[in-house]
Amino acid sequence: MSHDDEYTAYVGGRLPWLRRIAFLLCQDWHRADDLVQTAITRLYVKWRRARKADDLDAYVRVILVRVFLAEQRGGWFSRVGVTSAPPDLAFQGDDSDAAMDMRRALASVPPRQRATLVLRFYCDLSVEQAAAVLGCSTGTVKSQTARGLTALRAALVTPDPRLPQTEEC
Amino acid sequence: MDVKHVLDTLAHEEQPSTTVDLNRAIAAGRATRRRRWAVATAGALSVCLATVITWSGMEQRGRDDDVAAVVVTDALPASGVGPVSYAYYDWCGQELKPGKMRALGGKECLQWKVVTRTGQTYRVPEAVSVYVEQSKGNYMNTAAPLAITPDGRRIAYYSEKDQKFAVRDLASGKIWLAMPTVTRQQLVTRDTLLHLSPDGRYLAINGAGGPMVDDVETRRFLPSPKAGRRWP
Repeated sequence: MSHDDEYTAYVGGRLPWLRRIAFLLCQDWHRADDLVQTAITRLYVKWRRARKADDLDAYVRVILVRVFLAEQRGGWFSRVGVTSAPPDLAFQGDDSDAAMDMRRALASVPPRQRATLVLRFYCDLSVEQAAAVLGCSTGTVKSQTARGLTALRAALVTPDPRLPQTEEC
Repeated sequence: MDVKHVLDTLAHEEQPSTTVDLNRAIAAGRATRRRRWAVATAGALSVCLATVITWSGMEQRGRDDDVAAVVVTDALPASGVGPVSYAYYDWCGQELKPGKMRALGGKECLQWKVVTRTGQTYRVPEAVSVYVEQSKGNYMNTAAPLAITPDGRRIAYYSEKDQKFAVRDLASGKIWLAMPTVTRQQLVTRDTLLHLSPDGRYLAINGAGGPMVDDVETRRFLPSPKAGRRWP
């Protein structure tokens, strides 16, 4: 099996997982695809080294998170793409209002804190592992986690100010 | 609400069709690899080129050193020498180490050398050249001066035997001594410049024994020229 075949087989199998993490980071499927595209391109460039890694999933996850954070540091124009594709599909779960609230709340958390929450509570990484992915100290991970949780909980209990408020009689 | 629940709920939304293209990633990755390879190759070539240029320069410098270190055995004849084009001295092919050149004292290779327009090189034993006794603090005052007329027929230098500056006609061998008496110690202490008039008759001295202009043929001083004035 050639290197390209190995790469294609791996990325093809892990694509949905990568897209989910990217979506949690940015709350936009189109942008998630862009992040994944960039991340797997970098993975291809480093494939000879990456394929020897003890945990290839962790290796790719580091690339993806760092691509996201690097893009956040860039300008607005580097994150926004104009597309002719229709908007995202409607939520197919049980409670679409709750899902919209969750999206809005997660989007209100600053990007680095959001990345910390995703790594800690979705990817189930320890503080040390998250610090290694983010390239910071464990203390920073702890503080970012605490602030992210506070921001997320505050956004979940606060109604969206853009929505009309119901007046109590 | 539990954070993990929020994230899991959002992550399990139905994924729309993806625009991620593996072939595009492979093509872009290959292009990146090619670009990095090109940059690395260009960098390596630049380093090689810089090394070659540096090495060539050092080799050329080495050759120059060889030329400068050529031993000149012929002393300037008493007369019958054609016009000279330039003069030079060196430290017998060694690197200048101010305050540490005493070991070279008295060596012929340390003397002033004049090169005629026909390419013949002579050393000038009677002209003081490098001050081997020079201190490290006064390292800029390296050697006694030597001047050449524009036509190359006369030279001026310091004669330690006479303790005076001398002007010598190379063809006839006639020597005129300037008026002031200057010791070697004065020259070593004070940087001195010589300048000859185009016909070699007047010698201007600035530094030890000067400032003054000496008519060496009639042995008389001339008043020092005012600033901005030309030769008499």
